[in-house]
Amino acid sequence: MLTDTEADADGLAEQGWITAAQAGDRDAFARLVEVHWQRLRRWLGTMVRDPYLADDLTQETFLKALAALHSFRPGTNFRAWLFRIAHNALISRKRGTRREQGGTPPDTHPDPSRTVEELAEADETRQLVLATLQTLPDDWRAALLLRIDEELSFAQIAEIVKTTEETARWRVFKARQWMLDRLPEGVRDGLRRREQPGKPKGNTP
Amino acid sequence: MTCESLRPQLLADPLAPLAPESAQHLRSCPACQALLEQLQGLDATIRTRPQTPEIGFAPTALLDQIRASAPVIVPRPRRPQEPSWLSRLPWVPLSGLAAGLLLAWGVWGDRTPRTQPTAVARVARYDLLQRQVQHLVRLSTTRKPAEKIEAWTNLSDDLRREVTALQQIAPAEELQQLQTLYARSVESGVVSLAANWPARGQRRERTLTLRRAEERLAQAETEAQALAQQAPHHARPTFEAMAAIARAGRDRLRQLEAIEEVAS
Repeated sequence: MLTDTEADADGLAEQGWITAAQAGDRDAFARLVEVHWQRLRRWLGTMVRDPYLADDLTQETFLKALAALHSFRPGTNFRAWLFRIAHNALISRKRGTRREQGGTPPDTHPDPSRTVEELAEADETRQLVLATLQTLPDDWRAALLLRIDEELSFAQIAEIVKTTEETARWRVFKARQWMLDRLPEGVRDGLRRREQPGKPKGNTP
Repeated sequence: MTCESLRPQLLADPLAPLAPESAQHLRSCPACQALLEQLQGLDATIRTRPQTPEIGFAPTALLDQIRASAPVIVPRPRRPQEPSWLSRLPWVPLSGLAAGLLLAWGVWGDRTPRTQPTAVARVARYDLLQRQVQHLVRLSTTRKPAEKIEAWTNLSDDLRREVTALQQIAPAEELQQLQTLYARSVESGVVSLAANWPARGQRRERTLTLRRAEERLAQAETEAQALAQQAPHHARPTFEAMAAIARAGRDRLRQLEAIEEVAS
């Protein structure tokens, strides 16, 4: 996890690249692509469940971003701007083609610090959670992932998916409620025992 | 503050700071604590989910194009196409069979007959070679299963007619060579193609093609059986064998049709 100083440094570097890219520096834009490619692809990949389509949409997003770079307002969130373009590309593509693929592949990197029984239970929990994630309506899943993965504010999420902040919050709320309601009690208990690497405990009393 | 009023806050944003009275309720309520832990576990599970599988499409080409001063024209990730059933057929063995037919015929055709051939036999042999080449060209150029099956049927009919034409003059072993080629063209050509032709989307065409091939095999069987009664003594086993080959091929095609009827 980045320290605040590192994050600030990265933020400043990114601002520099954005400014340079807007001035026509292609190399600066290529750096922005390198920085954001994986997280954008991950979000799109979970949304479409198709790695080929995810790659295609990721590329399309960056090409559109390059074409519309002059319209980006410096000082605003570049990542959120990219996700908005990606969301538009996703919606356009879904209108054109309806493609359903299989579920998310199993995790091949279990935690070595756990016992076999714990691992089996954790793996089952993970599989069920991820399967339930895929049953969410697209709008809810998009908002939930932007909140959890990207830690974007509800206002930023609202901007990306073109809705109000209240609706974005409601979608995230409904997504979590939907998932918990559909998970068996044993799995919900398993979630309580899951480690949360690198994340703050938040409201834990 | 009650569980009902705190629950929506936690579900919307489990990490958000709580108002003092909400925090106080949370500290004293095991149910809300359990919910918070479940939500944090849920988020952690989602956050640590596996990456979308890599398909070998790196953004390198895009980056190269972006860094170039020219307009960006990049390749799109290409999904591997599901191979058609035709491409899954053992085309190497089948091509080998076709080439074998041609080669065998070339070798056989060049040999000096032990008995003086008639003019009809000479013409027939020359024509057969020409027709075999035409069949092979047809087989290599068409992609339609119906046309391929027809080409194999024509090829096998030509072989059978050749045996008929040469029954008086060709020795038994040479007739048996033609018989072997006939068997391969029926079994590995006509029947194999028919067996591997999926009916979906082409059921009517498939049925018609199979029935045509079936009729021609039935006719071949009848003719071979009749010739087995009339042919010179040394040629009779060849005709009997060819009748059996044609019958087996016809039966197999009927079987395939019956399976399709049951399936549909």
